Amino acid sequence: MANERRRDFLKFSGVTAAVVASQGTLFAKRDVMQIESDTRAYPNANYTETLYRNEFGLTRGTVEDTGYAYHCSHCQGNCAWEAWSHDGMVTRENQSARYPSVDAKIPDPNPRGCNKGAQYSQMMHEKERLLYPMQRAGKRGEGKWKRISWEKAATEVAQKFFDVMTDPQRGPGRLMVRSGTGTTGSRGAASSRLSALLGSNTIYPSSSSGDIFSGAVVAYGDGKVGCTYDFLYQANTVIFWGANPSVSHMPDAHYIWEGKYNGAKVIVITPEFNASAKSADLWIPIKPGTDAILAASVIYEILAEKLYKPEFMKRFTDLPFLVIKETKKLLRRSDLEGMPEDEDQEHFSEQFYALNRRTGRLILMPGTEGSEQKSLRLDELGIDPELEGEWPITLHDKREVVVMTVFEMLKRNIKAYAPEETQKLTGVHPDTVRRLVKDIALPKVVSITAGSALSKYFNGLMSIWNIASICGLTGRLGPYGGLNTENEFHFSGLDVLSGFSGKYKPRVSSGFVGEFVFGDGMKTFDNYFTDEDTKRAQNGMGKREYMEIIEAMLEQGKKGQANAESAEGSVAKPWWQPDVCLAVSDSELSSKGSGYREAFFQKITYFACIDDRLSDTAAYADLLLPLASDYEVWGLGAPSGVHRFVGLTKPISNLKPVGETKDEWRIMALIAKKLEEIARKPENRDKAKVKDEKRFAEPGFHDLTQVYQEFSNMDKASEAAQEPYLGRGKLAAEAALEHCKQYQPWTIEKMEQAGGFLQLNETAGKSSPLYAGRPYNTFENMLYKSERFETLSGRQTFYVDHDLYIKLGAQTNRGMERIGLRDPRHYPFVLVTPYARWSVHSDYKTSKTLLRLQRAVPSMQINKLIAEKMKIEDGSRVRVFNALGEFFVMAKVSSSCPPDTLVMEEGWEPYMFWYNRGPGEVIPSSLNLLEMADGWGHLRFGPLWDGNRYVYDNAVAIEKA
Amino acid sequence: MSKRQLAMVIDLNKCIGCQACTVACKTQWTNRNGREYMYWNNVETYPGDGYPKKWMELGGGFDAAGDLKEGIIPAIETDYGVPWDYNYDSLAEANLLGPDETGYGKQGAEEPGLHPDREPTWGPNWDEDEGAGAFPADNYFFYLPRICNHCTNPSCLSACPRDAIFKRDEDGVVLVDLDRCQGYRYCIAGCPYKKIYFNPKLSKSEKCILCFPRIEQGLPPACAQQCAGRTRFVGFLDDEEGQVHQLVEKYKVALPLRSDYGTVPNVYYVPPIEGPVKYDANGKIITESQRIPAEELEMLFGKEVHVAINTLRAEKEKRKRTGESALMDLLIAYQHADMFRLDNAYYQRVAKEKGLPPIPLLDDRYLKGRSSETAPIEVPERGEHES
Repeated sequence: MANERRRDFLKFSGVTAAVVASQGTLFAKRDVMQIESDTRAYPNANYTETLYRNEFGLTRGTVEDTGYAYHCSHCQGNCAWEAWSHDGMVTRENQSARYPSVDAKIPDPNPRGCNKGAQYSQMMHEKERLLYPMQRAGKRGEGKWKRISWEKAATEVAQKFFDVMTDPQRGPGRLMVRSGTGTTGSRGAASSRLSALLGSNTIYPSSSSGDIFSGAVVAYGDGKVGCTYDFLYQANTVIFWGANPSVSHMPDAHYIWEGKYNGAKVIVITPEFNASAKSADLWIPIKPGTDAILAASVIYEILAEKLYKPEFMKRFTDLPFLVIKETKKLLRRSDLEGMPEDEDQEHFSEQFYALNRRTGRLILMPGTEGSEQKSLRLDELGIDPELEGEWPITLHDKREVVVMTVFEMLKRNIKAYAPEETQKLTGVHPDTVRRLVKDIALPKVVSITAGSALSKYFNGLMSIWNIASICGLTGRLGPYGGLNTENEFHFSGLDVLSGFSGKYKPRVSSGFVGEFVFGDGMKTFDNYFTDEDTKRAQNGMGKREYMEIIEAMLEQGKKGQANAESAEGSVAKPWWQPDVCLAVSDSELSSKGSGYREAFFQKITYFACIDDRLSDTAAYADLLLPLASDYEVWGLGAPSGVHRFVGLTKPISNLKPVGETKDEWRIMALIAKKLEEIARKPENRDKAKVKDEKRFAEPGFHDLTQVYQEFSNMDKASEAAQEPYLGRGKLAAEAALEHCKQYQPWTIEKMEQAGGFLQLNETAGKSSPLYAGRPYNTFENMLYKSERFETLSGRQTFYVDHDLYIKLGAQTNRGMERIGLRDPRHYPFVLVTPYARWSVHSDYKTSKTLLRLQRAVPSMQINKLIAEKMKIEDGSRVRVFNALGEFFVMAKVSSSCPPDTLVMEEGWEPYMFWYNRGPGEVIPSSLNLLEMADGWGHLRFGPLWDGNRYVYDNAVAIEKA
Repeated sequence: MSKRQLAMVIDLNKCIGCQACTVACKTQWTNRNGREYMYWNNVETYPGDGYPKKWMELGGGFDAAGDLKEGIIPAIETDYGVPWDYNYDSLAEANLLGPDETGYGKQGAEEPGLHPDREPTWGPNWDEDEGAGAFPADNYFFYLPRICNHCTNPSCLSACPRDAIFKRDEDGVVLVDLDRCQGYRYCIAGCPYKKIYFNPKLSKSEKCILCFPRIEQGLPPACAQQCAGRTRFVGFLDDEEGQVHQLVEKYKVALPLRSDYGTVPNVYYVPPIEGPVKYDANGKIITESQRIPAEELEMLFGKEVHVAINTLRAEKEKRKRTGESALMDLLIAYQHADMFRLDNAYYQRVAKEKGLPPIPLLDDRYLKGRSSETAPIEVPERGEHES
């Protein structure tokens, strides 16, 4: 009825759009002041006031019933919220805003939070919530489901697990349990635990979403470097390169703009004019995907103007190390002394030379991976290494060679990138480059944030490596700033949730390689990219050679075989092809195209999804399991590195259950229980001990008759070791609080008293102390205590002599172009999909509260002049296409969009587009050889050294639909 | 005049356009009961048509002679935008398959699995981030958050033929008397900011109430307390120690929006001075240039804006040079809790005078806003976070 009435009104209002209150003056009540006077207050105020006061009272509810929550769907935010409730229902949320200040001279972090967290209460009971287990009853994606019981659903999953695990042809490697971006922290650990217990295949979600800072790993041995955001408040120059913190880091972005009031200069380098650029001192509108080249020009200018810091470079970088000019290989101790028989002990191949100015002789540098001296101190060893020059020497095998410093190599590589030479590619005027260089090199504290956008191009590794090298040349570490990717703190003891003290381990697939293989990426690459594209992006290496190398690498990585056989750790990116897959809050398919989906489903037989809502991925699943979400569970947030707090979720009092949803721990425990029941059936008992390789199962097998006992720590060994019981969200949160050193001495009660969070203690700092009264930035321990970096050279890396790097001319920094098709006549645009203001990846994307603040449907910015030329009207439908496919989207005509670029927020579900196809349709796939390279020094596969999906590296055309 | 006046200062240099304020207001007041289409708080990208569409062209306010000017009532569909809904309840049953029925073809079903229930044509943030100017030479935009200005001379009040709009004596909050309002909507035409809305369910007008029930109980307005950018200060104009008073009266860097409408607003803005430099035709930086045209700022914030900008720039420069500037300290706002200077004791007294039941204290963190005439009360400090 209410809706009826509203519609009637709407009609009326539409017709009378131009009601003009022309008699307004007749009713002007300037003499109304009398009722405002002190003596004669408005007589009827109490009626309205009471209404609103009561209404507020209902939303606030009973203070004692307040819950706490963070909204941590793969968000670094981890903000502390109060969940207000009335009668067992969450009414709304309000930031707790009780964070303590670190230093009275630095703004406190409050209130934190963002638009997405502020509305979660509205999504909690939205009708898209999955409420019951559902079984597919039609074709994939046909929308036909049958409601089933939890008992039946969990048994179905367990039976599939049992079948694949116990089938000698398949085994644990063909089972995949993957946890996506929607579940993190103590909650996400549930699926990691089950995955480890079964030795199943899993992946790093940040790789598949393109958020690996591989260039930083090359430079520092760690991709997660940088600072807590309060550090930026005190910097002199703050640069955001491929980043838009006012959108991607809403809760902490205030430090940047308060820092500007405090005297900082803010520079934003992005193709599009965005929410951060609008407030910067300098915005550099770079052409998309040319960041590596602009960074090379910055290095060029630093070298040309001698703005580098030689003393810093000698001590903290490998720039004085010697390289054999002809082979471009680093000069190793084994080159001069021969390879010792007991290389395992001697590590001659991991010791390197410089030329000591004081003696004029070669000297083995301390602190390298193979060196016995673990400190970077040079003075006490009487070393003053030469940075420049080349010298003839004789090797162990009597060869006469010339050696030169890495610094000389760098100069040679960078020679081609004078700002005048790169202007055409980057669109950046040489004067701007010079100004940028001065702002980077001269001030005391300079922080350069490299955004994930850089990693979404084929050459992203080189972009970030170059930026790291800019910081290395200008002496930036610790309190002097430097590269900021996404700092990560160090935690010990959290293994209590997801690990088994090494007894069981999951098969971790490389994210970007796994997805490339699952989606038949090679076929797409071959169809889409030309020899010319491949050569342009790889300094001349052609398509055929590239594909051969990649195919060999994929073969090496299959089932992690090469790594299993290697004596020196990882040498290839491992992957396992799943047959049965269980995905938890994972948008596996949502960001891909239909071609990927087809390839994916042709290779697997069973796909079950655990989620709180029906994502596009879930829409194609065989089974849906409903997940309890933020205000319904207990949990501790995923520790973030951009601040020092960890959030708590605690359900409101007397919470009315939402359907039959369960939390991650209860679901995984239930599956484990059913698996155990199946394994204990008499007919199954003899195959219930599943053999496995020792590297995944220490005992040599997984005993499925014990799987629930082991999952919940109720097996004899765990009981004896007094491991904490697991299997419910609250137990996991308590276990984490008890066992994680960095959480001490917090308890759930203390977190509640504080306002729903804990503050990490000083041990959380990885390469700097986390002082209670000071912002954090990485690498103080190197700068002040001469601790070595976790790199082959023990220093910031400017040189990688991996054969592939040498082959691509990328053994040290240089410019590299993107791979996207260059065909401006047919495909003139690059489609970029930066981090969204309105979602965290696809989480929150379907919220109507948020969609009403957008265009209702997916929209894409098109430059105003281009739109005029093409007669595309704002709000009209546009077809975006290339040789791979097409999708349709609403045009948003904008002055902030570059003419050669289309800007669209990331994370849209394909089912929100016309024809149910999203931008994944036009995104080509590729793998970058520099990220694929493995088995060199610190470049060994792991959570940091993985690669990215290059979703921006495309070329598209548009037309009116 | 009311006895005291609550006011808000919004710093446009710190606004990141995240709309946490809009959403906070929505869940606090306007997600129900016929208010669904209303945004008591909205953030629009300026330049742009804003919300409701082209509100600055819809009249209202007073002319130079103090007479009410003609005004237009915006239409829901075309000017506010209808709050579209989605087929959430049928999403799971939506058939996403296209003609080839495999789910893998280049096209699926034409209709999106999840779609709005009507063709969207306008909404409260329709021109988000679009801006104006030539890319990349001089294009620009900034965010303009807007709530009811709780004017000292409210033209909505003047326009109401029923005398059903009043300004609270104790704090100047402007309210529609929901008992007496008959839904004539002259107030909507009369408000030059178009910040009064017609509630079709109640057939009455409603508007931002400055979260007075929160304020009375010691909690700042939702839009202000929940602002992640820390852009909003709330306090009494007569609280001389307060940031609001100092930014408005002492430094004169916070200015009302469109004061030419003659309503004497009590929401003040620190104008945007933080735009990047422009580029010339050759792509060279034009040093010392400003993207945001001064005449635009003058149109919005009056001639005083030039003085305000000069003060802000000079103080910023001083801070850079010397590390000192009391004005920059104020704008930086070291303690979030200090941005709000509320006064529960004062409201207790008002309630007592009116013979109303006492107003509970919900939060003790934001109570510094005592005027000289309000007796100080004992406020227990919240304990440090013991660890």
